[in-house]
Amino acid sequence: MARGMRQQPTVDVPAAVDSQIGRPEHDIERPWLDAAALRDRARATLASGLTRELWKYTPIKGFIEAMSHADGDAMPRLRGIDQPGVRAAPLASLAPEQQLRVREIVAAQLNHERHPLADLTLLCAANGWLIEVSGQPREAIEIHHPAAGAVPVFLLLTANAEVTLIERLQAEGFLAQILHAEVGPGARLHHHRAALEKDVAHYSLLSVRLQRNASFQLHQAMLGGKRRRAEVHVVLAGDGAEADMTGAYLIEDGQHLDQSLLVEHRAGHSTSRQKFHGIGAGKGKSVFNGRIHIHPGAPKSDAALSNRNLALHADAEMNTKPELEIYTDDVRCAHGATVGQLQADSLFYLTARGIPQATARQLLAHGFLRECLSGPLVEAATARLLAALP
Amino acid sequence: MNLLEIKDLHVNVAGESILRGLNLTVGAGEVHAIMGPNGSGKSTLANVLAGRPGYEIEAGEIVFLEQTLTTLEPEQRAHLGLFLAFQYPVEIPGVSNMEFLKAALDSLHAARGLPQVSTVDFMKRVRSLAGTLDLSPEFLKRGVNEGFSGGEKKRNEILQMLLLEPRLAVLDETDSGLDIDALQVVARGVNSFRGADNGVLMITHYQRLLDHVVPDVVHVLSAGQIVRSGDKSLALELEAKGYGWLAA
Repeated sequence: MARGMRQQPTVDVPAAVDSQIGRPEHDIERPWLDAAALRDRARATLASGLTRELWKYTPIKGFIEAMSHADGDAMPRLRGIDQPGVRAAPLASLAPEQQLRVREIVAAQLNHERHPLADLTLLCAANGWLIEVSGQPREAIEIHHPAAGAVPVFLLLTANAEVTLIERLQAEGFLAQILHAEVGPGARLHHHRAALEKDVAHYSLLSVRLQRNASFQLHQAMLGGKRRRAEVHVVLAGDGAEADMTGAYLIEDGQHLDQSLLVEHRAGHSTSRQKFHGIGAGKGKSVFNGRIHIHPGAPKSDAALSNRNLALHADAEMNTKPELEIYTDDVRCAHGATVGQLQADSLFYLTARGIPQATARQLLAHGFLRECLSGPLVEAATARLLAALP
Repeated sequence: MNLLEIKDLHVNVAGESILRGLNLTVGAGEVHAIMGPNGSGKSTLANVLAGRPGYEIEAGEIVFLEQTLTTLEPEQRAHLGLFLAFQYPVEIPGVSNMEFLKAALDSLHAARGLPQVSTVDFMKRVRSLAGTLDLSPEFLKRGVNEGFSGGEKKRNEILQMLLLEPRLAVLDETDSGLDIDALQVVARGVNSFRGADNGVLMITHYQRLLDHVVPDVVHVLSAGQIVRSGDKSLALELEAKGYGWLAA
């Protein structure tokens, strides 16, 4: 299944769910989850036309099958949780009222028809983490994802809290992960994220909900995997919320990377910036679906999404699909999506200075990715991504 | 000794004949100015010399330091000692000026079998050049020409010329878009570059640069040919009369 890029097979998805993870007798005691409701929701969502549309380029069936074998007890390793301002606990050991709180978040905030595999991930997960942050913890919180498994992490930032989150994926095999962050009024979340292992199958949902004047920064670096599906869903729920996201990615021979980015402006004076650069360095496939949704009642929203792709290999398939939905007047929204080659002018400029063609191409490709790389993971990401350049 | 000899050069760009029998010789230690109206082929000449793709040489030859230039790649021309100061320097976000300049210098040294310059010596050299050209040392950390003003871009071109020490520098309208202060800074840079072993070919539309960098020879390019050559008084004559009287 290294290259699952054939036409979407016709799968009776709900039947697959039922036969593998849909059996109530498999349910364990999880007060933080309403498994029955989730199962119904997943069945309905998976059968929908929307799901077929959203999984047009990546067969969902393999993910569902892999999900049924995922280790529900796999827990990521955390660092930086033993410091003032941070409280972290496994979901299974939470006090009843905390379990209920997670249950409410799952029901209300993590309830989206666009992320059916997130529902399945939750159904498979026996445990997970709840991390609460208040104030400004000095150290970054680090999450190292395990070898394989199905893992939800819930991160709650109280009002005016500020924290840096460093998330590394070090998986072999199949990993399904959810990170859901609730960012309280005036709070700030700086998120650095790297998924640079290539022989993996990986599903992830990064879901962030920003309240009034909250801000979220994301710096993400990704390699394609055997099959990797990365969903990012940011909701600007309060006035003045801000999101600023950059991502660099690269696909090599036989890799598949499907990214789905959704930014919802639900409140006025909210700002979002998205800049994602990708390189096709081998015979693989990249899909980038970038969607901005400005809801009614979000005046003075300001959104900009740019996705640029460089096809450096003749058989690299780079797809980009911009989508805009705007229901408020008086907003600013810019959307740019391109797939192309290295700029001939730039190449000539470098070679005219004596830089050999091959080095010049590498410098340009490097620069193209580096425009979207920064933060503590940049060195590892740069080294890994550069090593893959042709 | 001649640095550059161009004989009966005919060049075609996108099916249009731009240079039509151009002859030019630049000797070591000389500064030549090429003037001409828009569309006369000035920038085509600069680009053909540097080897920009898309310029088809139909006839004639270009000899640089006794080597035929036309079959060489742009980087090979640079290794021989040819430098083009771009009319429109390219912005390359993500690649820092420092990284770019070091890569260029390292490439030249590697091609010429010279030892690599240490990073410390390189930084000293570049900082000192930046100082003489009124460029803030901060510019080294920024992307190549990224967010530079027109004047900063042109000064960066001159910095590269001084760093890479070519045998022949072709300045393609380096004076355009410069205010008088920047023009003087650029002129100082070019004058400091002048030497007995190297040469400069200044391509310009206006004579004002020639007040600051005095050429040995002035040529007038019109409809793809050099139609007149003379000393710097020719530039003043052009300033007074315009190009019209030469076209006939």
